[in-house]
Amino acid sequence: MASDGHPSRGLPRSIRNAGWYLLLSVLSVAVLYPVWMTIVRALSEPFVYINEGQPFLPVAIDWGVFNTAWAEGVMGRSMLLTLGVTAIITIAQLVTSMLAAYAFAYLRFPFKTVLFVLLIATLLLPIEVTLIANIRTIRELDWLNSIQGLSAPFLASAFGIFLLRQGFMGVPSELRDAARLDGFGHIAFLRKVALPVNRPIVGSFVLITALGAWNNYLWPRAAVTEQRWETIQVALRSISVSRPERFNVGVAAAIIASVPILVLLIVFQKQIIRGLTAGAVKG
Amino acid sequence: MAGVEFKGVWKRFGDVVAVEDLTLEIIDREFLVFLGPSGCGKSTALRMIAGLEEPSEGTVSIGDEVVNGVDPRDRDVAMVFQSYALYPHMTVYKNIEAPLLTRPMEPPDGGAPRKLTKEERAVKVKEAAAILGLEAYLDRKPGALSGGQRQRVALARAIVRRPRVFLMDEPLSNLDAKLRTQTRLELVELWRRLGITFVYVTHDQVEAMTMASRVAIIAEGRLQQLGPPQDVYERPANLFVARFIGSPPMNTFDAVARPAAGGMVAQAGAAVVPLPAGLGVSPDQAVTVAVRPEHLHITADGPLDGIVRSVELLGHEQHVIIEVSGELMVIRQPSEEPDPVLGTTVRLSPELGRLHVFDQASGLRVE
Ligand SMILES: Nc1ncnc2c1ncn2[C@@H]1O[C@H](COP(=O)(O)OP(=O)(O)OP(=O)(O)O)[C@@H](O)[C@H]1O
Ligand SMILES: [Mg+2]
Repeated sequence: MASDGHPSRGLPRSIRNAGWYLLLSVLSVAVLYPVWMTIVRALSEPFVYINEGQPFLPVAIDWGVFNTAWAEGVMGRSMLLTLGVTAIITIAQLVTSMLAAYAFAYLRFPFKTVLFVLLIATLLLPIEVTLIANIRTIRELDWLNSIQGLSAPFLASAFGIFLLRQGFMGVPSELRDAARLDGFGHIAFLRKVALPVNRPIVGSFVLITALGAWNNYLWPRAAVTEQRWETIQVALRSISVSRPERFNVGVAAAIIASVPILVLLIVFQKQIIRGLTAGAVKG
Repeated sequence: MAGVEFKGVWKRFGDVVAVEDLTLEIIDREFLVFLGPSGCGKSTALRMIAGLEEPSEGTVSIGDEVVNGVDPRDRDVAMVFQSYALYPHMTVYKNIEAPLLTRPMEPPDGGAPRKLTKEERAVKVKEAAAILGLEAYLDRKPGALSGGQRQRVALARAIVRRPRVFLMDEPLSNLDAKLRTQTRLELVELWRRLGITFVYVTHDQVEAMTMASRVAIIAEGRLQQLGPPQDVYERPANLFVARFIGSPPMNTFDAVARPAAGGMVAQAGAAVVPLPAGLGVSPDQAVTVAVRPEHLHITADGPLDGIVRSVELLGHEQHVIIEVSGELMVIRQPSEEPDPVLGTTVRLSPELGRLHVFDQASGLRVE
């Protein structure tokens, strides 16, 4: 018997712990290495960097590169635009998903299962499949180069409906009964019980949606023809292709563009971990 | 204040008949207990009062009003669930306050019902919390409470708006034995204090016997007997009730009624047990005779005989288990009585006036 009360698997606890730490360290390096190399490339003077054979530490450091990147093109405008589009997409997806999920979780209506499968199947089609048809629609609506054109295909989400429906179905039926007796109608129950009880799930969903919207590339690339309507990911590409020899500027721009994401991740950190492990432990 | 009435109520779930032709009047301000084995339909009956299930047939009334089709929130009933069903993300205070938010209420200082202000709600919440001794926990979330405390919060949430009828579905089953005994007393106290109708569902006969003004015994969706606990215990209406109520359960044996000198007797094989005079049995009628363990005694000249199989000592009393022509019977006697010797043959005599006789074909009590 090991002293900590766990059945020993032949190795003392300290050695097993050391093993875990080693594994986690290796994984961290694997995750952090590309991040570090990105920073190195942004800070290094490109010609020196290439000449030195892409070293591990920055060479001929130039902090001004971030200023250059910011001034290059219209990063500020692109980021603001993308922020707006991201907010619209995220809020719209949250609203449509929670309403649809609520109906599919709690209401009784004919052909419910068939409708659910159909809806999910339609929404699951990857953007590539519907791209051409959708672009034609947007063009006919005269929505190219517009906020509504950038957001329209992303207002509903199969993932969101499915995720929230699972969460709602996990609300104990006695809690629903109690809420009915307490006089909560559908909207009140959704707002005061179903959503708050599923906060970790809602949090993760919001985060994942926002990340996806911020990182959208294919659609904005197709739905935008004027530079001033370029979202951040499209703009990043424009910046890096315009002066390939100054790749440090492109990389610096990419770092700037990831700041909002980092902020979001830090703010939502607790939610994500709880959301991703939701259902793992009963409670 | 209001009573509740079921009239010819059926509830079907597909092919399952959960409640069958229930007709029952719950009197205003009584403590009625639905008692029955698991799956007998007692929760379904309760949920039909709450409006959480609609009857397939028949009517349910609260007060003088038929409430079929009336939304639960408009029935003015409150319910405590087995799992307590507290809102996990709200504090105790918010949980108790929840039912006050959604409907017009009589203000604390009287007057016509209207939407209460925050301060008025606070008065009511504090009052309910005080009744259940929850003042110290108002800022906690349910997750930080013990089972007994959660149960109190559920009770407080139910009484805070003074409903006409108070419904409870096995509210004690998640508590430990000691807390259960204590809470039983407190519930009766609460019922006296509030002066409203309580309808309580349980499968635990001790709860039913100790708390109920009247018990409604249900089996397989059908009402078996309705009456005060003592009546149900002393005069079970049918074999089901006879065997269900009492612990250890009644002893029963099948017999045939025969006329004999001095009245009718029940004959079971060689044993002949005299039946009370004036009992409505006819000669050759197949009957089941039942007697409670405390009304069966070991005597020198009893009409039944059997072999002592085991003796259970419980401190204040002992249960002697005796095999009588292949069936086990239990005798309950004070522990001062001498221990019978295992394996010996003893004679048993039931107290004549304490025999219960049932018609074998219908299972109904014969008087
Ligand atoms: N929503 C439902 N759908 C289908 N069948 C149901 C439903 N609710 C109850 N039943 C069935 O109706 C019968 C009675 O159920 P009910 O819950 O009233 O029993 P109960 O007496 O409360 O039992 P328990 O003591 O186990 O709670 C059972 O056979 C049950 O399976
Ligand atoms: Mg039940």
